Amino acid sequence: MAYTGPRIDADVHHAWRDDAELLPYIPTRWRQAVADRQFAIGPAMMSYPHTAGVNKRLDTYPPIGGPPGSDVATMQRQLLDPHNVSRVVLGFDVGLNAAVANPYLALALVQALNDWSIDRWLSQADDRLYGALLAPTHVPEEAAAEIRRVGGHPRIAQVLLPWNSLGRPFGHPVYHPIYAAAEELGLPIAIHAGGGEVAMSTGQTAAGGVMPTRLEFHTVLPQTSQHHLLSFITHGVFERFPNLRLMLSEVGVTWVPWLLWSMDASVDELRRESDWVRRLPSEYFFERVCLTTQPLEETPQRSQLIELLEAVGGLEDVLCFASDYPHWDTDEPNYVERRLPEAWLPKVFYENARRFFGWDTELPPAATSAQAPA
Amino acid sequence: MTEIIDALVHHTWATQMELMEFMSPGWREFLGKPESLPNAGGAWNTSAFAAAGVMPALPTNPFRDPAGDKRPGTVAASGGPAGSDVELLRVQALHAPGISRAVLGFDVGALAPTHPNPWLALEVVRAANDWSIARWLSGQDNRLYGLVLVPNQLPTEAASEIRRAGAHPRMVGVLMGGNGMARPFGHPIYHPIYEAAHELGLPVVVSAGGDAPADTLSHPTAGGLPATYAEYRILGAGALMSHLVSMVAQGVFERFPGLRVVIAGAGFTWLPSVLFRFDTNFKALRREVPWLRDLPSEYVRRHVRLTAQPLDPAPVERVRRLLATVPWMADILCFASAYPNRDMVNPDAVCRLLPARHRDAVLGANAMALFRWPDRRPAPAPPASDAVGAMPSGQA
Amino acid sequence: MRYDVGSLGDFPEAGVRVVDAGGEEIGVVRWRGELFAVRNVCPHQLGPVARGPLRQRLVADSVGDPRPDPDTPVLACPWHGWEFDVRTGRPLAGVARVRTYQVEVEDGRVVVAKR
Repeated sequence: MAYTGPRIDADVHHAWRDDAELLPYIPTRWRQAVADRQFAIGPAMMSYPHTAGVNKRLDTYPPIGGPPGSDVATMQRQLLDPHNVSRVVLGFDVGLNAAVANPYLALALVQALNDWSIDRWLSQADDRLYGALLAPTHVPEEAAAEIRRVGGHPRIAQVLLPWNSLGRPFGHPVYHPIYAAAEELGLPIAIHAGGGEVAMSTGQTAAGGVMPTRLEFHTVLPQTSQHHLLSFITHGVFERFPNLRLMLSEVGVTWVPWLLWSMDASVDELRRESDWVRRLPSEYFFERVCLTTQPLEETPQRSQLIELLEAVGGLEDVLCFASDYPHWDTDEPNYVERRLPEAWLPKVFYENARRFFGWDTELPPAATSAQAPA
Repeated sequence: MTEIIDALVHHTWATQMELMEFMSPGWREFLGKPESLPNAGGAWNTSAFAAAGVMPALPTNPFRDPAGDKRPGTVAASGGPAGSDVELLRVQALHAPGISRAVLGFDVGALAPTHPNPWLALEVVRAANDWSIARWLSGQDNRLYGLVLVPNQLPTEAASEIRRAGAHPRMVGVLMGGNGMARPFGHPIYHPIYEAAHELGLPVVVSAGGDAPADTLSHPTAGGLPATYAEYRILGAGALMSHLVSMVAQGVFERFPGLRVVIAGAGFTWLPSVLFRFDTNFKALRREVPWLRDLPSEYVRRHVRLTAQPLDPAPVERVRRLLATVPWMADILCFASAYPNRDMVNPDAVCRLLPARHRDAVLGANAMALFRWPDRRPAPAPPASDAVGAMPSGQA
Repeated sequence: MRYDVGSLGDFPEAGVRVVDAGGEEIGVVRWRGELFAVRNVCPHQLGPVARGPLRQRLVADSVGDPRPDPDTPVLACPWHGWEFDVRTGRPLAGVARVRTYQVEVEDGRVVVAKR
């Protein structure tokens, strides 16, 4: 029986049509230099080009021009309307623009991106559009200030950490000012896959060395988020900030049994080395953490996926559907629906995200583009 | 009842002086004389530090278990670190658990390739192999076999060392320990090593911890370095996942079709998720690696083995069912104790996780068919199902 | 049922066009003078496979040395990039196929036959 309820899409990527669209939001001190291309909007990246030429679904280019994800109407037509989406959380094209090495420029860019997102997307009449705010993680105090600056906007849903800038996993105390500010504003934290694919990143994207191809890099990519999650526990982020929640985006789901079993098995060792691990790691996980479903691992038989999902009881309460539109490894909602246990669908498609983002009141019926002029 | 074979036991020297007996006069002279300085003391890695006045010749592992790396009771009365006393090892690792064959794979010595001085590292490795042959594989116990430690920081010399030390009949495999070039092990720079191992019919054992040493540029974890030993222990399997993935993707099993690789000391409950993700990504990104003729999981099935250690406590029935999501999982698991590590396991603990029909295979038969025993050479891995350049027939 | 989907001239060499055949989208490929037809539905997540790039298959006779195979036309789904040999519908990796149809030229018209 087809799922007919509403959906929340917890990870969608929006973009600007061209640099000119972003320039007005960049402070004067940097604006001309950016316009003249003396400074780039974004750092040099590690070299994992996609075999398709771009890491996007090829049919998501808007008819009016611009890159995938840059046109509200195209996103409404391809994603929101056909799939009964009540809300999306827009997270930039993962926000690595914040990873510019110069912290002064980075802060200016982050503020510009947040202002652009609020002005061009989150202020739209289409109230399905919610968004993440970017935090420049290499300057944690400034990141906290930015969270306090824009985090109160009614359509801001979470704080996105785009880049592991200081070579430490995100639970390390150096980042804690960010979590203090997020908790103060009642915003959850999102860590998106990788966040290390930039030049000069001392937090490597894979254990064992630099992976030669995108295939290898992408296969072991969950390793970064796994470390971030564990570090939140080791360094007591969930203890110090009792209301803070964490979302791990775009790292798939079937590795969870291995990691939870492994973390709980080493809890005595963790406690020998840190006073912050007061509960079992798996308890923190189920209480504070959600994972997006994408990319949902393919298995030759559906029963194999379900076995991995059910290996540790309770995953049905922590998975949040995400399409990752318009990236190349997007998950079509109907596909996810066919693969998950049917009883899980209302939670995964809607209830878990509603609870996670603190949208406790019932969301209004999904608007369509016909009702919500751009 | 098949033999019980222990695929990895960590043997070591009592002091660096013992190892240095097998080094050249020049290197012994360089490393110095014991007691030529007042006792510095305080060095906690006793197998590396011999005595004041001798330069330590091994790299340092910054991740040490605060409760001790070794199982209590494994240190001999004679002194020396756990795993350095042949007699005690025979009693504890062979007699007690009823082991008929054990494969010796070094302890801290395995990290030698990451020493920044490539020539010293080369000499340490050669000496380690000669020491292993002389002190453990020359009649001390017919149940003991060895792995050739590979100086992978110099791949050409490493191939020579495999051909040299690997000629010994009781060497049954090759050990890739420390990551000497700070690259994933599938990187072509390491391929001369696999060529030599393949030529000699020796499987390649990749053991945990090779990316941990202080000097290496590769990291044992992604996303930065962990703050605690516990995090390193939990996430350390990641490095072996990376090495496994890269060996498949970079065509090691296409170039060396008979080769087998053993992933040791990383556990195994992560394998299904990695295989499913790897196959999915391969279908999308095959053009990056068009030399692969089969799905990545197929290469793993034919060419890769995993030791069933460590065993993290988890509900046995759930672990069994998770393992069953990969239908051939029991064909690729091998018992290994990892004696004398703190998280060593015994055959009974492994048996509890498996249906009875798989026990003989995991406890012995799989290892029997894997290593190059003097009395039984393994059959090489079967070839890919399709010819080079042919359209895939889709045979799973 | 047979469907006239256009004149031969509508289908350029080394190209793919998506046409309607009895209410179903079909991708018609012309490659080295021959015509092939595949259903525009990817077996993976049901994406529009025939709207993806049509390219030569990439092979390698040795590791690290790719070589194009001009005899094998491959469609890559624009969603996840899964590749299919349009002559047979078979994937280059895995087992899930794209459905293929008979397609012929009759008096300069391209005709797709659906069973």
